[in-house]
Amino acid sequence: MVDGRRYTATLPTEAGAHLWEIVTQAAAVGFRRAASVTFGAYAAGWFAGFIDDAPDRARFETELEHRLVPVFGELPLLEVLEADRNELYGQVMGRCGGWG
Amino acid sequence: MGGGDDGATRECLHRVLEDAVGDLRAEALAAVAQIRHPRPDHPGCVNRHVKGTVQETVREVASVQDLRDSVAADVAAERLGRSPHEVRRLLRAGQVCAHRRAGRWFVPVSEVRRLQRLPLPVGRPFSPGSAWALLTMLAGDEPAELSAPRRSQLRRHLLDADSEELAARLGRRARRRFLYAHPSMLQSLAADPQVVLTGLAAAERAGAHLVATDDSELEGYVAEGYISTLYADHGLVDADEVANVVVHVVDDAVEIPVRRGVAAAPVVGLDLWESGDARACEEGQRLFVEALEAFRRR
Repeated sequence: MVDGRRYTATLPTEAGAHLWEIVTQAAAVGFRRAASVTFGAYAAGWFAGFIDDAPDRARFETELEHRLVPVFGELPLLEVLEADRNELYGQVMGRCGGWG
Repeated sequence: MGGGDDGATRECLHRVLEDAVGDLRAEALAAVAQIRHPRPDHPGCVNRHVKGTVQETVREVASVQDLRDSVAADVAAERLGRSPHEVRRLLRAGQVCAHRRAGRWFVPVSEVRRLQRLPLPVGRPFSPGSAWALLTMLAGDEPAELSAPRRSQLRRHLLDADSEELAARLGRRARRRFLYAHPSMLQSLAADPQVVLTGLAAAERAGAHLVATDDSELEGYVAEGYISTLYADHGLVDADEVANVVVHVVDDAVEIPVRRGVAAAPVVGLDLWESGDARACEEGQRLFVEALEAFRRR
């Protein structure tokens, strides 16, 4: 039983089954975590990891604040991770009225 | 609506999502280690227990991931536009991290991407001894135990050769290993006097315009004779996809040029150039070319 669900598989060796169990458990943990945090919350923590004079800091702050968080901020991180990257850019483009 | 340009938006979104994947994977590994190996009752051995179980789980997961995220050597050769013979030579020389399963070599996709960014070597690669003599001269030091004719020959290479061609021929200076260290061990590993820091860990001190945003990764040179002690003292395990330590193993006789407590600028530059990361490549190339130009002015 992993994360309240039953998973079964038949593998040729005990070692293979052992590894499958670990990977399944890890996937369930990652899935649960990604579903429980919003893109906005993760991005805030991610941005807080920058040191004050990091070269990309100001640039990324602008991008997050003005373009990405307004569009994806309330969505679960999992939803953003699983979406097609081009579609995500398209949504930002639509919201901002074009790339230029 | 305010905001930056298209490229910056794409880069920012890409960076956030890639880091999210990495963070989720690390959290999942730590959580699974806890599920599979619950902490013991004695508080005194909790830290050692957690470190040991995370490493054990990483080793198990890494063995699956290494295979899943790798391509066979002949496929890697095709993607790189090099002959299978040449790729096998690189594998044997330890210039490419790879692993052997059922008699076949598998190359991690991350290594294929790294090699795709490197210039193709023109001419025979320098032996490890010659490579280090060249780098020592480039750093402004005099290499020990080098005959006058050989020194003159190497000096001519430094004066005449194109920087890309020269860098491409220095690949045999060390053998790369991807390792995992528990994050609590990284500080002591960085402070180990037998480890000469390089790459991003040494970039700022070597004069690169790059700043490591955290100390969660480490790269350094280590003499071959010290490797087993290094593994034992810092609890290192071999890992590809979950690696947070890159060790460049050199022959025991090699003396690595050091400045300000880290590898000298041309060495750090070369390692950044070979790292596969676009910005690090650019900055590493700049450091290396600057050292070459400084040598030519001397």
